[in-house]
Amino acid sequence: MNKGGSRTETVLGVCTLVTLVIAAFIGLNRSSGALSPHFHTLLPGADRYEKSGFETYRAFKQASGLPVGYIAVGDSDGFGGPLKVAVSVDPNGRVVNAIVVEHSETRSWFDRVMQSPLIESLKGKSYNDPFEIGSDVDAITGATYTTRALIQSVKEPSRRIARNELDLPAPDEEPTPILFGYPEIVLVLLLAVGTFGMKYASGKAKKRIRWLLMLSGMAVLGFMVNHPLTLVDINKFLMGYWPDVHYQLYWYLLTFGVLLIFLTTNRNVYCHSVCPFGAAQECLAVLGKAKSFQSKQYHGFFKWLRRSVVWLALLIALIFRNPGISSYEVYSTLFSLSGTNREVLFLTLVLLFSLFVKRPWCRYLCPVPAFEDYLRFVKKTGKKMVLGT
Amino acid sequence: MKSILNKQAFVASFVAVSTAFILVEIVGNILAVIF
Repeated sequence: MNKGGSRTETVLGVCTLVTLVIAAFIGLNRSSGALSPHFHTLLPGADRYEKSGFETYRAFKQASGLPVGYIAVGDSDGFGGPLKVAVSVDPNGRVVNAIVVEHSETRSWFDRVMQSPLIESLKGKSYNDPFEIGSDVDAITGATYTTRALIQSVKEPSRRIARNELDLPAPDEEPTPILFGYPEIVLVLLLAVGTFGMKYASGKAKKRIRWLLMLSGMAVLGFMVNHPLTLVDINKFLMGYWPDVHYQLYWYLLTFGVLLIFLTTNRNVYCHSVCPFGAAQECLAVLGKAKSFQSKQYHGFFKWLRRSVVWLALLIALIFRNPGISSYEVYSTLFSLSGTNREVLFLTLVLLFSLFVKRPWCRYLCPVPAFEDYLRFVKKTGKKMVLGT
Repeated sequence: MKSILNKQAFVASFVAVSTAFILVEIVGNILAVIF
């Protein structure tokens, strides 16, 4: 790159960092949602509320001296970040109502959970019930993280109220073992083979290994687990919304794995041979005999357009302290085979285009390469500063 | 030459339409959070 271009890139790189730090400060200083507007919906029979502990309230009826119910807040880690639920409990320790007061979930997934009978099925549950998916609560296909977080956020405050306010023998939380199942094993294998296998293999073997990795990634990380690396994961990492490792080890392996491999080998193994959406596009490229196309005239413009969109998306997520708010990827629509009309239309456009141009999403729209560019910039600038050249 | 120009226009249209989709999606999400 020429000197003028390099200087512009440095100035814009620094501006990006400054604006993101400012956005993070704005986000941290924004006040979170108040609880009191939800009191009446949570316990319609009560008309006076007294604080009895941290985010815990006793509810009274004017004439009665005894509480008619209790309200407490529970939180847990959803897919996009923290999920906060206000729960009301009657004097017998049964859940009366539950309202999600704060969440950072991707809108379409959150709507799917809220439109399901999950909340209704939690009403009337006793503090003594197991609150277990598959036992006394039904799972919602494709929204496991949100479902689990919602159930945990209702169970925990209801048991806390039973124990602290009602003197009832609520069962203690059993320590949860770290979930290490087939998604985690496959992810580790894909990243390991992508890093070491691809390094030492050559020629046809390398090509075969890459296709094997891509097809396995598409089947497992895509259609079975539906959790490719997305903007939500990167936002969560940047905002410090790091989930409970017991429930979301997969997130740690994916986010930290890809980052560590890049920092140590300087190679983006994920995009090259693991990304399930990249694999889906390559399959279509084979079908349509599509070729790579590099627009010489607009190359710079496309590169900066993608970076600007990612910068805007990050800025919004930081200001709203909501990792899912600016997520725009089409992956989950493909891998869950469901989505809004707009999402389906956008996905169709990308997939149709993949028949004519190889990996158009990866080349022009995906946010991951923009982060890769920025990490390279930080590494290069850091090196220059340390070496003083 | 002509086919490259056509492909250039084809790719440019794809990027323009996709960016519009992305921006609409982001604005829609913000509005859903605010209201």
